Amino acid sequence: MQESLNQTQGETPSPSHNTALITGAALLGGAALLAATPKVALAVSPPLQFSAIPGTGDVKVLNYALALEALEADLYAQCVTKLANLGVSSSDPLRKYVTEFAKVEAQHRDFLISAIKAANNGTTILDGPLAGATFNFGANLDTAASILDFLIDVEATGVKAYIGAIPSFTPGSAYLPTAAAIQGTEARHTAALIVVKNRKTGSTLPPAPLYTDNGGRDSLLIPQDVLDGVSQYIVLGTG
Amino acid sequence: MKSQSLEEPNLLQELRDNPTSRRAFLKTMGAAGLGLAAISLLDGCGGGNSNNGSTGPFPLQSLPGNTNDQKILNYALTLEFLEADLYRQALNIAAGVANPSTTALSSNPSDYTLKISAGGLDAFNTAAGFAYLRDFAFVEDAHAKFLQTALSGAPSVTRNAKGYTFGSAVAPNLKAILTAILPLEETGVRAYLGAGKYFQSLANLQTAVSIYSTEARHSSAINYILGIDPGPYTKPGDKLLYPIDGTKVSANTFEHYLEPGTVVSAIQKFIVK
Repeated sequence: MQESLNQTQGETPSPSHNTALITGAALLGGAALLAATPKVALAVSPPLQFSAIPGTGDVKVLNYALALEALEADLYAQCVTKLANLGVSSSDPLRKYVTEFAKVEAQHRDFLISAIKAANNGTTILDGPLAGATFNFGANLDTAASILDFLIDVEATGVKAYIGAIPSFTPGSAYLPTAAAIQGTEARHTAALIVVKNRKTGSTLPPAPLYTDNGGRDSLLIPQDVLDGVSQYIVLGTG
Repeated sequence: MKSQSLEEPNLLQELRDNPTSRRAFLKTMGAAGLGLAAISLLDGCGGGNSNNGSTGPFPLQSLPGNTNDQKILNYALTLEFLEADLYRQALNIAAGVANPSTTALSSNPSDYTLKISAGGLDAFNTAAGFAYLRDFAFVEDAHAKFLQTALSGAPSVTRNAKGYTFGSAVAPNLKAILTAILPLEETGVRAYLGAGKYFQSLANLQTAVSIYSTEARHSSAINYILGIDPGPYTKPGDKLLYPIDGTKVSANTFEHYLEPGTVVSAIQKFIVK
């Protein structure tokens, strides 16, 4: 496991992940899901299947969102600790935003847990397929620079994931405005982190799609492509 | 400027509650040649339930459109026309273009360079802030064109013939220009979120969200340049999906929204009458 965690950026993805990248790239017109990040060995093999997410209708898609928010919340919590251990100043904008966004993502996770429990007899995906699961982001969290890159990728994936999840909701669902209200915050996080990267590194990445990129609109990722991309960071519980 | 943009709901409340005021208002607005805007404003008085559940038809029924969703897309196009035009003017001012209020957007972003003072922004925020102003101007123009294409063949709104205005002249420095633009973006985010629940088609909602989240990105980036928290944060008049308790829900946990009637009221000051 440790050996695979030390794999370097740019290494050829495993065959199953490569398939996901091809699918995602086709959907996004070239933008690959989490492609810029170091690869961790697939901890879940095969990747989580959207068809296996518990529930139907709104409960199913909310459980899907919860899987992503649980991953994000845990990622941010790990990043808060990592940045402190790396000696990044508390006044550094990266650490400041990571601390702020960590709280937001935990609130998203907890909100979804409450909503799903209320709608589904008190159980969520965290009591089912992801019971006891942990998250291992490997070398992505090795340095402040890699943390920033990884967070940008994960947040941008979240933006696209929520758009791609909309058709899975029941038309007229009262959860749709909430999902959109979460998605907008992921978009803000993405943009803020990109601007921080630009300031820190001198890069000139656009914080939002250019008019030449999908007409200046955010792209979508269908649920299975998202799961194919993020499952590599999930370590399933043994119980 | 931010707080001013949302002051008008009190007027709307009075119109909603007082039929005499409604009639007088319509007469005044009609005399001023504001047909659509006036009627749309009063449409907004009919709805306005602030809860986040399913709500029935879109409140601005007098907007063009053969279907409910076409009316919502026309609402979005109304906002994008305004946003695109004011971005065009703002970019022209920042780039020192002659006749900034009337000179069209160039076909090439690289035609624009910053020609005015930064207004106190540091070197990074100056370079990045101008780049974002330029890029977002082209994006808003693309959003308007996209919605026009989406509505082709359907009844649709047109650009206001007399144009759009920031109201008072914007000081010729980048910080002031971005400060003038920011409320348009923040209101745009809230407008899309407030309209989303009225879509009958999930595909149309998906399209609207793909625009909405770029407005959120734009807001965040401009906030950063201006030294403001990326948000979301509450502004006067905001509707909240869930009460802020500081623990489970903070001001930045969810985006906030505005009902269509409130938005139509708030943008009147940008429309040349």
